Amino acid sequence: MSRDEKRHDPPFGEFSVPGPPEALRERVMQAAGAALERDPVPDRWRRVWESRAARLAWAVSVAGLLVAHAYITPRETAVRETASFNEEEITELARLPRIEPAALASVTLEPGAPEEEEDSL
Amino acid sequence: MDAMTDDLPVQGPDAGSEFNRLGAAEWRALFSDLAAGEPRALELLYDLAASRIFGLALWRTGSPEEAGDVVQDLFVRVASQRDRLRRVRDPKAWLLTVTRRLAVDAVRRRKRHAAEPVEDCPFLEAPGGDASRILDAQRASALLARLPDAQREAIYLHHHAGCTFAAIGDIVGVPTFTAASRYRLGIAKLRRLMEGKE
Repeated sequence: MSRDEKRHDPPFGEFSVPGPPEALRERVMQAAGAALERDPVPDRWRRVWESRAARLAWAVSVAGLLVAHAYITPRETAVRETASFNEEEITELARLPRIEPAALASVTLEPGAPEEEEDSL
Repeated sequence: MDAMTDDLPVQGPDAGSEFNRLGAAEWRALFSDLAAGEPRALELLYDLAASRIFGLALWRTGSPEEAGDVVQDLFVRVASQRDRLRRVRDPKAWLLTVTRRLAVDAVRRRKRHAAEPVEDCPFLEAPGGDASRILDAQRASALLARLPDAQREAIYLHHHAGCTFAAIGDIVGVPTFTAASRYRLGIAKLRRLMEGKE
């Protein structure tokens, strides 16, 4: 942790930080030794992983999803056929309009001269 | 018992310099022994780290009694949560981080009950029994007591725990720049206090 920065002289470098009192060592070793003899406390993730309640909740969730999947069917689609066409109607609709023979006379087959486009300024 | 705990001699309680000198691999070996539940590894950890841990707790809480409690809580935590010690990548930083959190919790608990002044806290002590030096150390401690906790903590971590500003940032949970700023502001304030400008 030390080499990437310039070290500064400590303020009050002639003094030192007091160490722990002598009696603390025995107190700490006693408490820590007792903790060492007990089973180690599992960390948070292990507690969750090994928790009976969490496993039960997981199993209930999965079961619920399966039940929902099996019994709750999706509703019929909202778009419904309002009327059904029969074949004759479709044929009628698809038939091209007839051109009256009298109207044909007004149809010239010669191509007309293209209209001159007005030059725009 | 593996090589780590056999090789290192047990130090005296003020073996803070060992705390700074020990390499990352040696720290990890020690934590590996702790994870295996070795009682001697616990003693070795105390001899290596108690001084620095106590100092950090003292500078953060401003109370020797609370600092002692923090050290005890830390060691109980190390012993009871030893399973996770193998996964600790930087044991030294981990120790300082947990110590700091415990110290902050101790200060919060205290503030909830009664605000105790930290002016009388012996943040520093004079080597030897020279009365005038002892008085100077008390004066220096009184100046340190007037710093905000975060600035005092940054000065401790930098000078006494041998941490870079990046490491301080990781331990305290702030960006490196903020850690460096806290240090600089703390030193500047100390200078002003010593010159009687504040």
